[in-house]
Amino acid sequence: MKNYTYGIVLFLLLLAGCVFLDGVDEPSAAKAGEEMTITMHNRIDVADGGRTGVRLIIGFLAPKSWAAAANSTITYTTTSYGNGKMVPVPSSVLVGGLPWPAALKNRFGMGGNYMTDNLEWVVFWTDQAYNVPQGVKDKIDVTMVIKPGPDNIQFKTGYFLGTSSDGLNDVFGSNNVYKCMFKDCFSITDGQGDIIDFCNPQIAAVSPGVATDNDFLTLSFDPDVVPTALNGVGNIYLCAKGYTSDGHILEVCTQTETSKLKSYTGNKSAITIWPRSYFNMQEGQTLEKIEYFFTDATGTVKVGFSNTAAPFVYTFKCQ
Amino acid sequence: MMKSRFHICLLMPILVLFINSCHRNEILVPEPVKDIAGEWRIVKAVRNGVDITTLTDFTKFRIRFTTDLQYTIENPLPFIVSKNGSYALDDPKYPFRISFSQTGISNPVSTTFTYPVVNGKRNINFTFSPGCAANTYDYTLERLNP
Repeated sequence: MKNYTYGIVLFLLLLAGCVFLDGVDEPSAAKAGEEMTITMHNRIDVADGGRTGVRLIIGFLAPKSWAAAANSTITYTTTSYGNGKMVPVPSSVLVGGLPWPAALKNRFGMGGNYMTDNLEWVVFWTDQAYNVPQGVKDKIDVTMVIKPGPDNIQFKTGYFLGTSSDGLNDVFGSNNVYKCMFKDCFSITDGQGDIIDFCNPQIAAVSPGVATDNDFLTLSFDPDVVPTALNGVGNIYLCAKGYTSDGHILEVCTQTETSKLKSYTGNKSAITIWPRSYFNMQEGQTLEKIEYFFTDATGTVKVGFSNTAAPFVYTFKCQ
Repeated sequence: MMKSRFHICLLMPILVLFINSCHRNEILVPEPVKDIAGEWRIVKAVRNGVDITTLTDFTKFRIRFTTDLQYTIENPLPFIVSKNGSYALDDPKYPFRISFSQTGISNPVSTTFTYPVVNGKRNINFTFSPGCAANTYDYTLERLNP
């Protein structure tokens, strides 16, 4: 029986159509709103009976606010299969029952970034399908021209390489028919506003990162980042001002059950609000931003941005 | 080894028979008319794949569907619609698409839903984006006992 098992394993290993992600060249500097070029150096080595109608698939991590699927131009060059362009994988294409971006998040995570709700896997595949017979070895360079959004952002980048035929299959052993690579913190500079930092934990974080006043917003407080005046305080409250597009300032800064933070993940606490109701907004009013502090039950102890007297700011963005 | 091969030989014709018999005994079961009338509450809320049911108060929200195709919302929350009005099911026999016509608003809002039975109770699952299109919410509603 054992011999059979070894035989099957050996057979499956020989069957593998392997892909290799040899490296990713990122620009040394990238500016908000300006196109940047990233190159993935890939190889394929088809060690079995070949594949028909197969597309090469690549993925990369990006802030959701970039809408990178729509704002990226991706092309590839090969040694013997010509060149071409890549297009977003349609959401109807499933791998393991999930669309590709969700499947990659499930399998590989978000590369050690924080506020992962505001990041996404963006997945493209070759515009055309190929027949790759047994024994094919080829080098494929994928050039991604991506336009970051207008914000100053830093996040840890991530890249994926795979094929439409083999998906996230582990029959041939993990990391055989696909590869995933995470890299260090990457900065987008010269943009507007404070840095949105996915690389380091923040005292305050808001999820989701893109929202309107008709979404639920979760504002969380993390006591473990730096010691603040709220260390050891039992109940923490939200003190917030909503700025409407018609110039009104709606303030909710009383310490009540409604403004009290609940326990959240780990040591964090959070409040989840529906801004339209929380700020008692009138029909036709829309919110542009929220400025907020966390306070104790008396309202006198206040913690703001970077543990200063300045408020945290959340700007409503929706693309 | 020999024995198992013999078994497979024996089983194959039986399997073929079974497959065939399935084919011939097709029974038409009429799809029952689905009735969503009644008062519903939110028992689960998911935002972008993350369960947020316990993060804020979903317990007071109510939506009541009446048999004469009207609906009313009490203690509103971000939902497909925010105002009361009338609703329509595309085909009452297969009501997996619902459209809400809010009073005073000309364009109806249409969405798909699922209608599974969970713990012996009918649930309705709605998936929608009330704010930014990038954010998806999934509410599970359960009918209150009349």
